[in-house]
Amino acid sequence: MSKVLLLSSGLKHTQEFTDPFLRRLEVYLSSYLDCVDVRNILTFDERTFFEYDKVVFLFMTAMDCIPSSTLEIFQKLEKQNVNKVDIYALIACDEYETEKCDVSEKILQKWCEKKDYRFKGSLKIGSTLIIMKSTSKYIVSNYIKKFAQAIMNNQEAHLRVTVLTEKRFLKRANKYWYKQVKKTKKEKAKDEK
Amino acid sequence: MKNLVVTDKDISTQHFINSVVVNLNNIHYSSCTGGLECLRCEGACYFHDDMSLISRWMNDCQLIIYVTRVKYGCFDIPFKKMLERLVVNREPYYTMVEGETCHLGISQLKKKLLVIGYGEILDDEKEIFKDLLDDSTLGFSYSSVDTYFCEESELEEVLCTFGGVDHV
Repeated sequence: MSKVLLLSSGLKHTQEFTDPFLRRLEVYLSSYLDCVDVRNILTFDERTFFEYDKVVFLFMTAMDCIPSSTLEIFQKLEKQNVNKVDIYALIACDEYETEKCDVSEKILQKWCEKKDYRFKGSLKIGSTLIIMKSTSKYIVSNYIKKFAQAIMNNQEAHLRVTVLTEKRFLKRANKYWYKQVKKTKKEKAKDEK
Repeated sequence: MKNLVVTDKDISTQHFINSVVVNLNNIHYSSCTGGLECLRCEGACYFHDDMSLISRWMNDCQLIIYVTRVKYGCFDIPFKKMLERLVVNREPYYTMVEGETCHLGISQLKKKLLVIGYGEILDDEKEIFKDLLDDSTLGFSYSSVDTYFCEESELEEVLCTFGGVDHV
């Protein structure tokens, strides 16, 4: 029975955006596997990395690229003994196009190549800030399930999902930010009083 | 403010006499937490450190030069941490640019970006790095983005060559 580590390696507060994906993936994997461990950048211990057969990095891109917190994990692992581990990634970006996750995947892939780990693919999710608040959440759950099945069956995964249309994305995402800015302004005005 | 050089390695400031040289080893800045609080507060970052000034300079200058180690086709950690703090220079709203959704930069001043990447960089890593620059500069008003790669041992020589580029 394989041991799986779900490693939430994004910046500290982006983890709240990727948490719904992480929880679903954990549920799907736990229903088939006995050992699914969940860690984040604060609770991760590099000495235990090689006890797992499969590691899934979960993060949201930061300035269109892999976050520095994930690069720090790479750095920590440089000092550890090399062991065969299968690497998967769940990469999320706030823009509509899942192609914005491609560079992060390439960097992760390059790291795997240099360290002799097997990179087995990814699930890329676009429109992260709004996708779980729309009807697309059911589609996302489906994709996460497919991703979990690929991990369990040792298969490669090349999946991507975003909200249905670009037009809908622009409308909803800008509305989201408009509300957020307005809410913050209101709170500030209240504090000043 | 005319030109800005940001480096993650100690370099001679004589090469760039018309620029402000920021050595990341000599400044104090916290890591971005990624909560996007700054986008909600119209660019007001939670942290008040050296990056508060540098992010403003980034908006105001016409030429930016990055000197960075490149690892796995990406900026090295100190540089990446600095770049993550520049999220304050973006608008929260999304716009279509060249058929892609992105955040526009708040400064619309035309500027040039020169990136000198050093280290043992393979050809495919150079390609990844260029793709990364293409993605991250979309929405910002750069009139040109140029990249140059060299070995770490060659860096001083390369900087001598590029020294004076800030006079133009």
